[in-house]
Amino acid sequence: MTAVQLRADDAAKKHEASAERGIEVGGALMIQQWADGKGPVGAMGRMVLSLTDIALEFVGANPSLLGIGGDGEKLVAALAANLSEMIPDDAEDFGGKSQLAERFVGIMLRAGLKTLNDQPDWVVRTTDLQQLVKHTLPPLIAALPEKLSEQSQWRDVADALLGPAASAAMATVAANPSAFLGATFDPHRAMGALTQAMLREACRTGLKQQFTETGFVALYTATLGVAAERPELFVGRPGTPTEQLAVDLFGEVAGALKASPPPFDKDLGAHLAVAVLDAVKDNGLNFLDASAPWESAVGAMALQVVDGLKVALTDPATGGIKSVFTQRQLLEFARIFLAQAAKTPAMIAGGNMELQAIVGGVAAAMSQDKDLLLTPDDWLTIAAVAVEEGAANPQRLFPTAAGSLGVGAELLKDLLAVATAECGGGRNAGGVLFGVTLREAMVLALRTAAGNVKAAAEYQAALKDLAKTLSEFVRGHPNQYGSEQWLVLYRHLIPRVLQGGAMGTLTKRQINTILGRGAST
Amino acid sequence: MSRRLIAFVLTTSLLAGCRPVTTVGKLDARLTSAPNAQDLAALAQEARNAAQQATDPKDRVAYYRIAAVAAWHAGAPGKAAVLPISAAGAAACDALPAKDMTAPRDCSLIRLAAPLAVQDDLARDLITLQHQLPGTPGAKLPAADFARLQKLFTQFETQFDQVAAIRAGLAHLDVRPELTVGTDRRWLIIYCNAVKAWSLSGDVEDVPMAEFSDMAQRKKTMSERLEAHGVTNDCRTITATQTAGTDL
Repeated sequence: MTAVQLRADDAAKKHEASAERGIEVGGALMIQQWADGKGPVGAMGRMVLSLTDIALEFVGANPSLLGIGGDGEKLVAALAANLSEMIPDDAEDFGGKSQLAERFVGIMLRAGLKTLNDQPDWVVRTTDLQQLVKHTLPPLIAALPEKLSEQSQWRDVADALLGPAASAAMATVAANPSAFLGATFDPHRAMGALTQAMLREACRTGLKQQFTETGFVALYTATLGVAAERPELFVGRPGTPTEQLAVDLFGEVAGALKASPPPFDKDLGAHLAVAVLDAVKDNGLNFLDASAPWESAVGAMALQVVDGLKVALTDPATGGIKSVFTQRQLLEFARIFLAQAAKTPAMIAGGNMELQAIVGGVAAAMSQDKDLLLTPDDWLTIAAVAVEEGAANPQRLFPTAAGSLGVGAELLKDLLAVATAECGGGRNAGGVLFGVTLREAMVLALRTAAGNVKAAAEYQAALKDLAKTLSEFVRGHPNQYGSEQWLVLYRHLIPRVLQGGAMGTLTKRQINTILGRGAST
Repeated sequence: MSRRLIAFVLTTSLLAGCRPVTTVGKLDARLTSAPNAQDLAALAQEARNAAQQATDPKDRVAYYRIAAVAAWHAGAPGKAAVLPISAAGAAACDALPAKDMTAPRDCSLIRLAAPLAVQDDLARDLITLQHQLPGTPGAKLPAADFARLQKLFTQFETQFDQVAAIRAGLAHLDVRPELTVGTDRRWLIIYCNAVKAWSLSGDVEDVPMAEFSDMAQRKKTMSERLEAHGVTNDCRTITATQTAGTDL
């Protein structure tokens, strides 16, 4: 069908015939291949039959998709326009590339029709799809390796990844229509290069050892987003053309994460790199290390966060934060830090290890929460505050100096220690310092101490005593005081401790005054 | 896009189909008469052409089986054709009314041809590397060879997985026991070659222990899978690195 369309288009371009006449002639030529009984169907015919089969599958269920002007029709036309480039030299010998071409065209058409069918609201232009096909399939077919074992791998990887990749590419084209109009550098070329680079990397590492299909497709989709939003990043440099840049991007990310502690050495690492790529898309390159090519800095950036988590991930004595977080939450935890770093590039610029110090500080505190007094969501909130305050107040709560976690981490650990002791008696004992109360106490401690770390460090023991005193008081008067009162008192009294050290004894009268209950209550 | 044109193309393609000039029996006889590699490669092409022209789906699959096995057995002269033929044959099997159950032996051999041909190719590479190891005690391969051996191991593992999937399918197909036994034998050969690749990777300079241990774990997993299917995972019965043989 597409061959017929191609012949028609070619003829029309050369003014040899109208498109309609071209279709008739093309059809006749195609049928002639079989009618003469000369032998097997030619490469073009085989591809046409393959495409026709796939198109027919969809016609029955989704007639509008392949109707005139439908997105499916545009996709078929896009494939048709590039068909001659996809018929390799070995076509008549039924060689490996020829068969691979049929296979790849089939995979792309099937995936494309399904994607377009699932997204009826999309409006895609034929030219975009043509360019997408042109820059994607012919290079993939041409890249079929010589060695049998590598050919087998190339096929396996393409079978697994090309369909999802085609869907992702079409989604990117549909979601960023303006990106593909009048750009100085054609993003389609970057998309083609990225597709090939992803498959090459998957061939190199396999689909089981490091990233699976899910990891590769997530990475690929994120790189497409960068290409659509910032195509200039893929222009290349002298000695590093677009294609090499794409190969380096996947290779460097995989290489950087390969030595990471589990689970970041697998798909979770790929998803972390996705977070970095998303940040590149949204914020540009400001937050990446400028001394290295950006495609190398992506993996290095992800690694900084992973390094911050290393101790908490690997130290068996702490129980590890892996036991607290699901993989999704662990990723979300890491994303919080990355998002802040993207907004505050100086945190990581020039080898600055601030981000790593903050991640490490929070992770160290988390690993002390052996009784799970806080939920994973509570920890995510605390992490967000820690990195926000850390970014706004450099070298205060979480300094980069070796040998110290910083007062931020120490305050969190102290509060956890008080809470753990208080909750040792179980719920019947009436303690309140856990869950939301503990979370808010930690947030208060971080926010208050960020502006006066000298006093926080000096009066660290007094701050711990304050939490202990309040906990004992509230626990001792369960019918009059609870979580809300604990927090009001803590908020009120932290500044006092930071100004003057230990609170000493707190009378009920003082407490009620602070709570606004009147001294006699 | 005109549905009429799609229907036209399909109908005429069916009407215009030509019967192959040869028969399955004749080609099968040539396959079993142990011709040389060049003859096998030519036979593969001939059978592939016959498959493309065959109108009967079962005949088509039978021709593809001959083509796939001939291309595999041909070794180097046939290796460019073996994957495309196996893939086309597998598609022909998928198009049968009851898929592989319609032609269980033919379809199993079509599917086996690809991983076994790749295994043979890998085994040749492994032998080359083995010969590069100096015979003197304590001799090592250059550190750069570790990556090559690691890749070989991974590729053997991939073929192992593919044969495992086909082997699992045999249990649901009406095939003669010889086919299952022969498949198990080749499954074991792939495993043993993976073991040899792993073992040789320990004979390179500055072995990266983490990666060496990772391969050891994967080797163990393969071994357990063989055991689970009642295949003795004893590589002592595999006297040397060998290709998968042609007696299926």
